[in-house]
Amino acid sequence: MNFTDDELNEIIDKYGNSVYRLAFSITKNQTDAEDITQDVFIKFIENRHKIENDSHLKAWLIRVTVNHCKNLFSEYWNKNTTALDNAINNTSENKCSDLDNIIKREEHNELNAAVTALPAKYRTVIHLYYYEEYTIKAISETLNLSSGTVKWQLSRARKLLKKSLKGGDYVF
Amino acid sequence: MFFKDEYAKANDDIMLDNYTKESIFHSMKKAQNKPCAVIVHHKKKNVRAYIAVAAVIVMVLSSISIIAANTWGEDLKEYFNWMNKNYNDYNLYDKSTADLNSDNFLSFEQIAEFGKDINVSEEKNNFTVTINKIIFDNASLYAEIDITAPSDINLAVLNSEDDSLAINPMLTGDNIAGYTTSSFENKLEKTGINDAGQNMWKLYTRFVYYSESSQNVLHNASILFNGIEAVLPDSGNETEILSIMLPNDISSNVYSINSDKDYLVTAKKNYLVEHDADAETDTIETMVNNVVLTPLSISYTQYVEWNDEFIYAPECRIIFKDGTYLYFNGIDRSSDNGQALIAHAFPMPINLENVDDVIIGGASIDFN
Repeated sequence: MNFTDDELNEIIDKYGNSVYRLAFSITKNQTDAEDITQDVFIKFIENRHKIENDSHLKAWLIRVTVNHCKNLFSEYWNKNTTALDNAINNTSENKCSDLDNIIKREEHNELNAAVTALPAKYRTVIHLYYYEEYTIKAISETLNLSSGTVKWQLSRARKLLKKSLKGGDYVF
Repeated sequence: MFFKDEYAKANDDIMLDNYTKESIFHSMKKAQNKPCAVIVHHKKKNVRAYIAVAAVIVMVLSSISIIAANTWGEDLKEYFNWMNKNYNDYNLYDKSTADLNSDNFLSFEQIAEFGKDINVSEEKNNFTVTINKIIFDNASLYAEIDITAPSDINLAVLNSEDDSLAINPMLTGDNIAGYTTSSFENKLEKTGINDAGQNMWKLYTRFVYYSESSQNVLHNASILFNGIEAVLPDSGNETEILSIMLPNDISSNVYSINSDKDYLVTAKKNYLVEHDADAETDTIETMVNNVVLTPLSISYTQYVEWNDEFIYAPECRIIFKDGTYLYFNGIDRSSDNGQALIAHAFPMPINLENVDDVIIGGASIDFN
């Protein structure tokens, strides 16, 4: 079954930002996040016959996004991942407006800086838990981790955030 | 201010631009117009994870074996012989019918009872030495030893200025030096002459030990007395168990303790301080689960933090209803990302009915 143009656009509109945000949250790099988003949607088209419904689609997209990010990290050249600031500075000028937004957010949002400073695996669970509002069980299923591991990662991530936010007034 | 709300606000700004959306659209369109290929998926087992877990098991079990071999060495054989003889004498553990589902293995209560009534006799060089009582309490091990010696030999405790044969209830084992206070209190008295004209002596010996730090744990210590060995409880500040034997037969019985539950526990972590490359130790929280207790071992999985160079598996303590406990130090090991299996082998089979609680890294595992 092929999607019409409208259906493809609808899917991108509905899930594109979720995938992109997650990829960005993990990779901390706009270009990587965009590439991963594109790869994930191509993968979806190749596997569309396996998708049962909307909620399955979203879970599937999240899982594939995380896996793509992991693959990216496992590649040698990417072990020296460029920090966000460098990535922003080095990105092409034609995305200036988006980058301005990112920089603005970075400047004005201590919280976001604290999250991006977390190790990738912690950023992943934080994003899924707080932004996607996944339950521990859902995260453990999505990431193929035990619920204990997810809880542990969340616990560690919160501790690190509290530390880097210098005990701000955040309620976790 | 809720983190969730603030984080959502920060992320709402992150959006795909139209250029990227369009690029994705065309890629998807192109992909779906490609002829379908039949793809056969072979489910891959996570070989790396299996290897990592297997390696940890081998490492842990090897280290246990090495420790056992180094500590007991040649004494082990004699010790086993000694113990086996007494097992047979007292019929506390019948190897031929060993069934760990039954009550044939020793409980700690039985060991205590065993110690009280022990009557081990050994003849050597015209001496007969009988250990007839071993009692261990919170801070000492007390033994009463009957000695029958040739009439022309006087006995005295070690370091006596008397020219008589010195009795040396030697203490062996590791970590002995870590004890801030330890002493032998020996009392020797002649109790009479037997029918063969030999002198009969009674030695009362009490080893008192105390450690200010629980790190100074006495491991596998023994009193050696003329070839007769009594094994001291393996302990820190308190007295726990008398190590008995390492059975050859391994039971396949497995008891899970709330296996699906997760426990946040503490463990030590070693790390290098970058500026001077010194190693430092810190205590961190770690997650364990899948706690499985068998009569011969306890195992659990531990989540290992990513990028940690070294980490300790948390210490483990199995507490029995009589207040004694079996203690395992944390294991220093290099880490691997994800879950790793930690296993401790017991020096003897335990009766699970007598287990009151299991504590790992300070957290109670709710055995009951």
